[in-house]
Amino acid sequence: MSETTSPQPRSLKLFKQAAPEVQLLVKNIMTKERQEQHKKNRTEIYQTLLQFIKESIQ
Amino acid sequence: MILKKLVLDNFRQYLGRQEIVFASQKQKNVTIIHGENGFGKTCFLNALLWGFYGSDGLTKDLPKPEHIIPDTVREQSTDPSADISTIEISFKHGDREFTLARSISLAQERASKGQNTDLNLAIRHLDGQTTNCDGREAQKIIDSILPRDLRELVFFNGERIDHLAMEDSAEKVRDSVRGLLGLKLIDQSIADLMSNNVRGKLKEDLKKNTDAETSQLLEKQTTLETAITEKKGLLTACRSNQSALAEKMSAINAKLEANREARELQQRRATRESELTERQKALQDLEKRLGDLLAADGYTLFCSDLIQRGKSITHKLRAEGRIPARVMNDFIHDLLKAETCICGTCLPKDSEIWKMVEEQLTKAGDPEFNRAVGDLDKAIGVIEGSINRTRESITRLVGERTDLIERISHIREDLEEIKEALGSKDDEEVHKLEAQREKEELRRHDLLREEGSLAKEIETSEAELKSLSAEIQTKQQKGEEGKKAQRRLQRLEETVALLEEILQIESEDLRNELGKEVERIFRKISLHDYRLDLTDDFTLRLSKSVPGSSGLVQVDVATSTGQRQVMSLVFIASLVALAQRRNEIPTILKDLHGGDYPLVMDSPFGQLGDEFRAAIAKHVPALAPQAIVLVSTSQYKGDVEHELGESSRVGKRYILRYHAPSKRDDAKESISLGGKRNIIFKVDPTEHTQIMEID
Repeated sequence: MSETTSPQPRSLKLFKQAAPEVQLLVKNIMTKERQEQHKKNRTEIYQTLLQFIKESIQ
Repeated sequence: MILKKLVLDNFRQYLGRQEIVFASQKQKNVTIIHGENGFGKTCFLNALLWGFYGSDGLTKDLPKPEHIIPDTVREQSTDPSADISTIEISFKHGDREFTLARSISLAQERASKGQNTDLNLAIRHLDGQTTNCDGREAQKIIDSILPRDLRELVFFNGERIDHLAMEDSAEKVRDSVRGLLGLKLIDQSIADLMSNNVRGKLKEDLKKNTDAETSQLLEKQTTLETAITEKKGLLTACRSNQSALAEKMSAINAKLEANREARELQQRRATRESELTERQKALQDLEKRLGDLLAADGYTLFCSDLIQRGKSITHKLRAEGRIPARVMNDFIHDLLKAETCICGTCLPKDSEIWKMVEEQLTKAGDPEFNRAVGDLDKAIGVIEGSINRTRESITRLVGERTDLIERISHIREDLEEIKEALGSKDDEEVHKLEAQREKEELRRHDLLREEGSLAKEIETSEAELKSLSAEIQTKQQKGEEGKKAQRRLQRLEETVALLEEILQIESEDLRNELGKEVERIFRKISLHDYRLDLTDDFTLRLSKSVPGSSGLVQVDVATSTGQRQVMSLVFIASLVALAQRRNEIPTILKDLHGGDYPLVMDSPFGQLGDEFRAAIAKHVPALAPQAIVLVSTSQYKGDVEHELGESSRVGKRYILRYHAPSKRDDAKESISLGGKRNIIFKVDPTEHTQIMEID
């Protein structure tokens, strides 16, 4: 998550309280790669998301 | 995004190839383009919008938006595929430099009514390499830099932005904040996760691996979700229609204010309408307070008999000496148990003396009973006190309510009178505008009704969905695959819930930051004791400090079109300032950089009263990293010329010279700027606009 030296956002505190599997999912979604994906087509985005979920929850 | 250069090649009234370089240095960040009304200011703004977004980006007030090719070229064309209009824009965003070129041929324009264009985008990276892309890919990159629904925050007609300060635009304001400050990613991720392609697929997996009963529940859940999605779509459309309608109304109001016959009445109407909104809001707040009071303490008004009965019971008990009891039965029980009196006399069990002490139990008081009567006494006191307080509060609130209703009714009567007075004006334009206004007003009422009913339906369906989802989650899956599918679905839903909460929290944090920025910028330009706030529900509110019983108090003020224009401008400038230092604001989003955005303002001084005109002009250079101002002589002369003319931040200055076969009677041939005469009109058989740089 955010690696800047700015104070810890309230949302990060909330994130840390979530289940590890949920944290992993959110982390994957919010990465820079994911941001870049918005420029690609949506089918690719859906597939990546499904893959994230299936890989992280076995 | 800092604009470097714009090239117009046969774009509407801009014939031939013309280019304009914008001031883009930190200390010289203002470009002024002088243009009289009808000489091409709005067309210039639209050249930028068309370059970035094609026909979808054009402003609503642009006549014949499907005609991009200049009329002269269209009429004389011999080869429609060779007659082309092109816009080239060079700009910098972050550490990359971009040059976009959008073009349309006459053949394309005719075939698609101006919809189909060719787009190319060249990106020069930090390492000196250049990449190129076309069409949709290029458009996606442009949209990722400045989403098209946020274009009016950067490129706007100053006389049409006042609607941002209206209550109807709260949703739009919230969206703008999320859009320009990077939170759309969370919004989009939630939508992606909940889509049929992700959550839908996981549900299918579960359906395949579960029993018939759960499968049926899942089916029901899908049907309900589809219905909710449809209704939410309708609600969004309804809200965006309201927002578009507010914009339309604002354009009609501006036209009425510009009309000499209607000006005074329209200004009075704007103030009264604003007062009406304030009072209606105050009435809603008051009715809520009244409702809360009745729910919490209303019962006390019906307790008088009960209080009297309680009082007579406690009074009787006191008269009989039963409360407070002189001796407690606990004490006598202890003596009997210990078989010893407090004086030391022995009390053998069942002896004469023991029985005499036991008899005292009938006279002794019970501590529980004593406490209960004490509590009753206390409760009677509290309720009795509350009866009076509640009665007084209700009387006061009902009085205030009557007063407010009366004031609202006066304002309404006044508005009706204004409407009638405007209707009786002998002016065709005023009649037309009034008819449009009435039509839009009726439509607004319909939309409000529709919004209320949709919101209620969604609320009911969501409650049903919640209990259904909970029921599905409690169903125990037997097989391994079923368990896995259920867990994945559950985790996805938890992820969505978490993202929704994060979005909420980060929006609130941004709103707080933005509120501070709004206050800071407004303080610089406000000459009076006004104060501008961004409320919790993303509404801009103007207030003023007035003397109250305990010192100065802030009261909301009814706003004029000009004031709302200032409020909107301050909001946009604050948003741009926040976008610039986005990386300093804590967020969960990784690698979110700050971004520079320019402000391209067509006629920003139009409706401003004298109180704000000079202040806005003075602060234009500080409103954004780059400011491009399109202004007519009448708006420029006086305060604006004084403030901007003295600013060392103006780096580039241009005039729009209009060529036409004949001059309008009221149009000037030349204007004087900085002591120099500049020709702004030339007789020419071909009508067109020429951009001329001046010192």
